This record gives sequence, C-alpha cells and structure tokens, in this order.
Amino acid sequence: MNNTNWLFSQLKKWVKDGIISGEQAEKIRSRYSKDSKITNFISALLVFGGVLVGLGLILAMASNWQGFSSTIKILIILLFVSGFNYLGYHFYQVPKRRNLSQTFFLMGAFAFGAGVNLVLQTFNISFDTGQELLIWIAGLFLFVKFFELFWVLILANILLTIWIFQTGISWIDIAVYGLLAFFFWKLIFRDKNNPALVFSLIGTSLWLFLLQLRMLALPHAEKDVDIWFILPRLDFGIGDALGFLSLYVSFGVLLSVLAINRVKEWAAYPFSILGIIFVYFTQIPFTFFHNFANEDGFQMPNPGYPIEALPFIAISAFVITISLDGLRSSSKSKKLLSRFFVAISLVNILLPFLSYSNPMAISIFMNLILLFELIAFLYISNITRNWKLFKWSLWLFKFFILLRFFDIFSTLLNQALLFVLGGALLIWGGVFIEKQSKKIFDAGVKGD
Amino acid sequence: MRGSRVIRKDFLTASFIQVLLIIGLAFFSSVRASSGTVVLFDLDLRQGMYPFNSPFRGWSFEPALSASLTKIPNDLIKEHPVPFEVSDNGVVSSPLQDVFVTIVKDDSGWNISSASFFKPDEGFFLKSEWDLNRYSYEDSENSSDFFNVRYEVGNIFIAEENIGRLRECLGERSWDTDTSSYFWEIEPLPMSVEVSVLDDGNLIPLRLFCEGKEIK
Repeated sequence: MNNTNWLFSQLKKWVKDGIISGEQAEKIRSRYSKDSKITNFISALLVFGGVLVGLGLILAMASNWQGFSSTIKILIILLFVSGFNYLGYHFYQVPKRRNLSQTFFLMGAFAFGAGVNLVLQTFNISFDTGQELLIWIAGLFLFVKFFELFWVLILANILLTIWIFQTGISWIDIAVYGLLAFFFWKLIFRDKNNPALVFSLIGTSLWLFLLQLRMLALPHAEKDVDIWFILPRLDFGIGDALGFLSLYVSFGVLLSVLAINRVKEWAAYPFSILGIIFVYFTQIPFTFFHNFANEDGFQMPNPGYPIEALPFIAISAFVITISLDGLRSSSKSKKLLSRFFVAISLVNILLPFLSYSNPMAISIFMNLILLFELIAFLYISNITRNWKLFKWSLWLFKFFILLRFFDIFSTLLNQALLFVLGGALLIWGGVFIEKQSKKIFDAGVKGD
Repeated sequence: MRGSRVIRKDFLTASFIQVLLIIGLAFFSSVRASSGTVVLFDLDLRQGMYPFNSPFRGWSFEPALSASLTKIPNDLIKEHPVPFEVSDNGVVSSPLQDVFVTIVKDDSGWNISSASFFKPDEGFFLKSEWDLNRYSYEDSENSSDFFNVRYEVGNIFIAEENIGRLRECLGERSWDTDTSSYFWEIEPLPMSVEVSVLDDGNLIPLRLFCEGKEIK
C-alpha cells in the first residue's frame, strides 16, 4: 500500500471516528488525488517548456541577424512579446486555463528580455552595470502586479539578484535596489511566493554587503566612482571583517525572529532556514581564526570605521525592539525566546570589538557563541514546533562537531586515522540523527 | 474579483509599458548615436583585442584606437598630471582621471593637438581615461615623455558567421620569451572603426571595417 492509499483508507476511519468532517476529508483527498498530481505534472511541464522556449528566443536574438534592418528586428521582437502576452491574457480569462496563461506570460517575459538585449545589440550599446536587467525587470513589474504571475515573479527576483551582484556599488544603485526590492516584496507577500522570497532574501543579503562596503569606503571616496578602484586603498582590518560578520548574524537573527513570531505563516520555513544558514555559515570560519594568524605574528589593525556599523546596529536594534514585547509576556517560553534574541543581538553589536583581542581569543569566543546559538536554535525549534528548523539545527550541530574534530586532532593523529575516525563519526552521527531526532523532538512536546 | 474590462485595461497598460520600453530604448539609442559627429579611426591591433561571446548577446568586439590617439606626449597636456599611488604589490589605486583629448585631422589622419583634465570649450575632442594598466604593452616602451590613455569605445556586436573573418583580420600574436616581446605569427590586416563622437567627447561605435570592408 502506498502513502496515498494509506491516507485515503485512514480518512474514511477518521470521518467514521468523528476526528474530521466529511468535508475536510474531501479537501484532503482532493489535495492528494491523481487529478491533482496530474495537474502538478502538467504545470511543471508547461513551465519547463516556457523556460526552454524563452531561453531559445534569447539565444536566437543573440545570434545577431545581419540580414534584417534594425526596424525589422524591433518589429519582430515586439510581435513575439505582444503575441505571448496576448495568449497569456487570453487564457487568463478562460476557466481552468490559468497554468497555460502563466506559461505564456513567462514566455512573454523571456521574449521581452531578449528584445531589450536585441535593441542593445542592434545599436552597439554596452551598459557597464547591467542597466539592461533593470529595464527587463521594470517591464515585468506591472504584469506580475496585475496577473499574479508566480513564475515571472521568481524570474524578476532572480534578475534583481543578478543585477545587484554586478553593480558598480554607487549610492544610486543601492537606492534603486532598495526601492525595487520593496515593491517586489509587496508582490511576494501578496502572492505568498516562497521561491521568489528566497531569491529576494539572497539579493537582500548581497545588497546589505554592498551597503556596508560602501559605508566602509566612505572616508576614501571623494566622488561616486567604481568602488573596486577604492578597495585596494582601504586599510581592511579584522575589525571590518568582524563588522561584516555582525551584519550577516544580525540579518540571520532577524529572519529567525520573523519566522518564530510567525509574521507570515507561509514564509516561516524560508525565514527560519535562511536565518540559521546566515548565522551559522558566516560564523563558522571565525571559529578557526587562530589558524589564519601567520608565523610572523598577527597584525590586529583598526577596529573599523564607526559608520560601517550602521547597517548591523540598525538591524540588531530592530530585532531588540520587536523582542521587547516578548520580554513583558506572561508566557515563559516567549520570555525565554525574547531573552535569547536580545542577548544574541547585543553580543552581535559588540562583536567587532573582538579585534582588540588576539586570534586565539577570537576563535574561542566564536566557538562558544556558535555552540550556544546552535543549542538555543535546537531548543527554540523544539518549543515552537518547527520540525524543519530542528533538523537543520541538528545537522549543523553535527557538522560543527565534525569540524572541531578535524581542527583539534589534525596535528595529533595520523592523517589516515583522522579521516577514518572522521568518517565513522559522520556515519554514526547520521544514523543517530535519523533514529533519535524525532524522539528528541517529540520528547520536547511532552516536556512542554 | 476584477471584471473583464478591468483585466483588459490592466493588460493593455502593462503591454504598453513593455512596448514603450523597447521602442523608447531603440529611439533613444538611435537619436543619441545620430546626434554625434561620425568619424573613422584606425585601430591598434597590438592591444590584443579578441571577440567575446556572451550567451545572451552573442559575439561582440571592443576596439582599441591607434597609438596616435592613445599615446600623449607630456608637452601636449595643459595641466600637471596628478600622480597615481602604486602600492608594493603593484596595484594602481586612484580614482580614474578623465582626459579630454583634442584632435585634428591632417594628411596622416587624426592626431592629438592638445589634452586637458577639463572639458575644452572649443575644438573637436574625445573623452578618455588615464590607462591604469601597468602591464599593457606600452609599459615597456613608456618613458617620462609620454602617458597613455584609454578610450571607452564600447562593444560592436558581430554576426556569428563573420567571426572567422574578424579573427583573420586581427592576426595572431605570440610572446617571445628570448626577447621578452610580442611578435606576429600571422600579420593583422588594417582595421578601422566608425564611431559617433558626442558633444561631451563620449564615443558610440557604429561600424567595424577590415581592409575597408565592413564586418557586420
């Protein structure tokens, strides 16, 4: 008996036992029925086909049709863009044809991007900082706004992320991204579009990095020029590196707080997983910091410019502000959660001051803080019943132990033995997590 | 629930914006290119330019103008140049410095008459940037009597079937380790680029020529 058959047999029992109503059973049945599976399969095929046609169009434009005049080229591309969009509009109004409509709109979105590139190619225009992506994104906005286009919204957020990755990091670029991201967030939250949210959060993390970098360069930049020319002049010290660490930890903590407070129920999963990823993977390199110190003695230069601290102090202050309500709550678990987030935010603000200490002190402190955070995340995921976050925390915890094993024993053990023991630890840990995690998680419920 | 009239209005608005963006971009590009003075410049093929294939834009090629326009004698510059800072690891670090090069045409072609860090009030001038590449071929022959500039000509897009012809025209250059210099394994052919020079000295590439014939 497969899972669906088992579920359907159970549904009958649950209705009979009065656990759920007949209506609820029907809703569950329709979600897992063959029809629903076929519809999902067709949707996947349609989107895949749409992406292929779109990419094919872009490549066809790129091959540079020397036989056509520029006017003919533009007319052809307008025909493609309008044709696909019209079909999307037509099927949007036909009942049960929304999937087909989404596919045509997606092809229209690709055709529009190809058209923008074709115009640039025809007139030999070379944009330095990806302005063509901005034009592409701008052209998609209204379609997403009016027709709730799931896949086009994802595409727009991927393009926006690519754009911020290749900008010249001017203040104008930073402001434009902020503005566009804000408008697209509104659509993401309206449409509850999880994949677009993930791309948007990745883009935002890049944007925050560039914002802090721009602030770091502020005392050096006489005018708004390419920051990559200024970078070599910066006296980039450990204080600055810790500043970037604080930025990502604060961003990760903010996402975790949003997830745990269930600000948007549907977004709890991407918020919580991306939150722990930002917190964990930015801190883990600093747990080995003493290994980076060279033999001639480690230089511990400037603790960074105060102005570059603005982004992470602002985020941490926001986290503390929204956690204050929890501190006044009568619920013990809410109080505990709020205390944790306030504490971790305060520690995070002070992190750059570690640059006044020495590399070993930084390593020890970062190990302790990461260990504390992982245990806290395990506990938090348990009391908030976030099973996915619990599993992620457990795996990251195990990875942390493995890294510590290699770090500590790499100089003490024979290399072969080190790897054998490391592998055994990994396998044992994997089996243990699979067997025990559910028990630990469920034990948490009884404990509550 | 929106009515079909509203849906149609929304569709037309969104479509209009897309069409406007494409036509506007084409119109702006066309008007901008035609607003400048069209000039033909020889290329310097020693600069090692190669066609580049980008997945979404196809083949493109960025021409470099000849040394008669990029190598500027110090006595032609009107002001004192601001020196660059060069760190121990060889990184040249300074904001780019714009150089406006005034040119005149004589029997030998276009030549430099003067250069300035400020936009000239009169004369036919091109906007360039001080060449920050310390490892460019000019470095070995650089002396305190000259400095080099680089023009942002931009890319010319080439049809795939003409890339072979472009490669023939560019020749093939190799490095001779004995003499520490480049030599031509296959001699390049004379190439030139037609550009539109705008009022602010910026350049827009229009057409590429090899032995006087256009490479589309």
